[in-house]
Amino acid sequence: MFVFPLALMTAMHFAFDSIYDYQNSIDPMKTIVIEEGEGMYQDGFVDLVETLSEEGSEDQLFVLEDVDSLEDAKAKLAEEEAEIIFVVSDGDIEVYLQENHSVTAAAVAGSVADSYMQRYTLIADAYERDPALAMELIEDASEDVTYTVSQKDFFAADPNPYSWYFLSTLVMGILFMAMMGISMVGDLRADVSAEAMRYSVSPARKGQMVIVSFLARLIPGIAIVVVQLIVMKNVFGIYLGNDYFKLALFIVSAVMFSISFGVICGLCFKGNVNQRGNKATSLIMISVFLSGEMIAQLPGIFERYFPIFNKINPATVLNMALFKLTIGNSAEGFFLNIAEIIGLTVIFLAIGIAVLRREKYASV
Amino acid sequence: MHLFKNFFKLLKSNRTGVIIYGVIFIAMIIGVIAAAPSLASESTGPDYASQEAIEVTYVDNDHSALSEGLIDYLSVNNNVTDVSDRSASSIQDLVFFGLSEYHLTIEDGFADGTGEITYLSDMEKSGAIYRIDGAVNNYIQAYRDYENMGYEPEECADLAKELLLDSATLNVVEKDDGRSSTTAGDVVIVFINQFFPYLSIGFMTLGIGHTVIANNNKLIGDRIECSPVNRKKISLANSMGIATSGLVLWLVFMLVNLMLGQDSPAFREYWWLLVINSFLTTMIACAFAAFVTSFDVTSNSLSMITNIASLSMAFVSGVFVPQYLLGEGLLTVAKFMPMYWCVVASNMIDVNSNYDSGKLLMCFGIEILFIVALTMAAAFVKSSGLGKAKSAVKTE
Repeated sequence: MFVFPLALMTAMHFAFDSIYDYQNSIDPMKTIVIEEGEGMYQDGFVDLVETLSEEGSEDQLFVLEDVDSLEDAKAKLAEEEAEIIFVVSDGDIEVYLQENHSVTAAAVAGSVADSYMQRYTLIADAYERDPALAMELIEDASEDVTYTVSQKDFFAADPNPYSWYFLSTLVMGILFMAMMGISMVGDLRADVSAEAMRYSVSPARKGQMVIVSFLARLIPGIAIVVVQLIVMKNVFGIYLGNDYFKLALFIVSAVMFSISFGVICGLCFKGNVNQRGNKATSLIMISVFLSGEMIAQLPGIFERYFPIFNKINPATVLNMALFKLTIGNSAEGFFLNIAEIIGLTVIFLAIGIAVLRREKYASV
Repeated sequence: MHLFKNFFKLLKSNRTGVIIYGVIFIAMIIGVIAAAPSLASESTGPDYASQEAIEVTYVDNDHSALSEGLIDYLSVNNNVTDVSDRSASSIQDLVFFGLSEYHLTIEDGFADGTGEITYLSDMEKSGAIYRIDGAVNNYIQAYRDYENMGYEPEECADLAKELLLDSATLNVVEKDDGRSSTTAGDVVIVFINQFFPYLSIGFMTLGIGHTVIANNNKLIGDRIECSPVNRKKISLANSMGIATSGLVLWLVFMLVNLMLGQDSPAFREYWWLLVINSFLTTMIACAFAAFVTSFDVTSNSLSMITNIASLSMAFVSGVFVPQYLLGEGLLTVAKFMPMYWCVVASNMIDVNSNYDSGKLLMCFGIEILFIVALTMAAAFVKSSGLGKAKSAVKTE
């Protein structure tokens, strides 16, 4: 329970450390421009591509390659020695990409060519209607006007999808604390173990035994999660927010939920403690898989086609609470998920305590 | 033969565990099939279309000719959804999980210049964001320019849309290697085969491994130990039991491949590669199961060991995240793990990675080495364990 999530996080840390930065950037691409004929149209486009190829510039998108003919350029593309070819003729631009081109190459090349062609057509339209305005548009064309504003602050930290794997792994570790609940059933149900049989006939109050047994598991469970969170934050650099009250609320609720879930599993399943534990492990593994532990996109797919599933899958509910608390920075989302966790915990505990207390009379 | 039959009798008595892990295996396969297109488009590596539609969501509080024209224009080449009925928290989920690659909020008064247009995305500088954000800004700019030319708002919206839909031609230069481009069917085949090493290890070790542990049970173990069968045969019967179970798993997986491979040109061309590679992968899983269960482990520790080992190997070897996204240093470490070679071999059917017969043979060779090494290690641990048990009995 303690080592398992940390061992996995270590593997993830090495695997995913730089992927988000790599995906969230556009590396300059080797590009060839072929001019067919001479004219202002061709010159303007070559100037634009040269501007976007300035080394060291923040806007650099291309690295220009010199090639004599389109055939040579295509050969370079086929050999994967270049990524993009622009063929610019009078009034038209054609883009050539590698067979295995990247999404980025297609998007950037298409976007640059489209913008230039469309701007040129617009200026030509304006020239026919109002030559003075056309001159203004030509002057404005050199300025890069942006209307859209990024809502960067909507997330408390980078919305790095790979962080989900870490959050999900912590939650998986917490969910495996259900084994504590199962061992609690083993300790207290007289028809499961000999030890429980002895407890059952002792003069101590059963209700008290159940509560003490629950607390004896809750405290180390909380301690384990706290240490794991400290390692997550300080060693793996996962953003956990600054609201320690909410974080504490999450830890206590999540651990209580897992133990009480284990109690319910222990009561519902048949066999010895190990067999009950195996069955609970299977349930947890399915729940964790469907919450995106192995494929981070799965909760999103459920959100689109079967949203209710995310609300009833315990691993997803715990993951979402932690996500809203940290990267999501949404108090409303956090409290909604925590309320669900606490509600289920209360129900599970009520059933568990009621059944375990009665066991003294039922199974001996 | 008697012990071999006994293995399956124990398997039958532990069928709940096998059924549970069988269900997990099938659920995971279904999950991978459902997520395959999303897994392919999420990556910024090799893609499967020249200009994929981008998932765009929006909240339009302006309802002007400009805002409605913009949404109309974006809807032509992208999947655009109105999410004005969703909460901010729900929109955040859509963006984080990639269901919305670009969320647009148009404030009231944007067309008059008193409101803003904002966007939310999970990346700041990816190719898709560059394209869609450029399209939005180009549309607004074109609309404003037509407005300056004296057109009416509705005319501006129509003219800007017409102007921006006239785009450059995108061509793809195909390699002269006779391979067709990847289809949606290929994507599913590639991903289920990429996930198979993890799934098979999980099934063999957790599902079947419990039977071996039952064999290790003192009561059953003692009975087998006092039978007139030598230790090698006991170990062989267990190994054959595991291998037979693996064979069944492989046949089931091949059936899944056959069903899904109908729409996959890559499968039709390279079915033999997948048949051999998945067979070797299954044998690695069997050898791994034999190795782990050769130790004196309890049911709980078997789950923990299997989960730690299989998940860690899968994360590092490129099962869950494509290998081209993982760093060179990490892949060097991954080369010491069997899953890495299984993934390299199965990914060769993808047009995005090059098929290389020499490298494929090397992968198969290394996989066979792993099978031999794990099996021998399992036999060694098992026989030394039995030896200890025997000497303990003698001492008593």
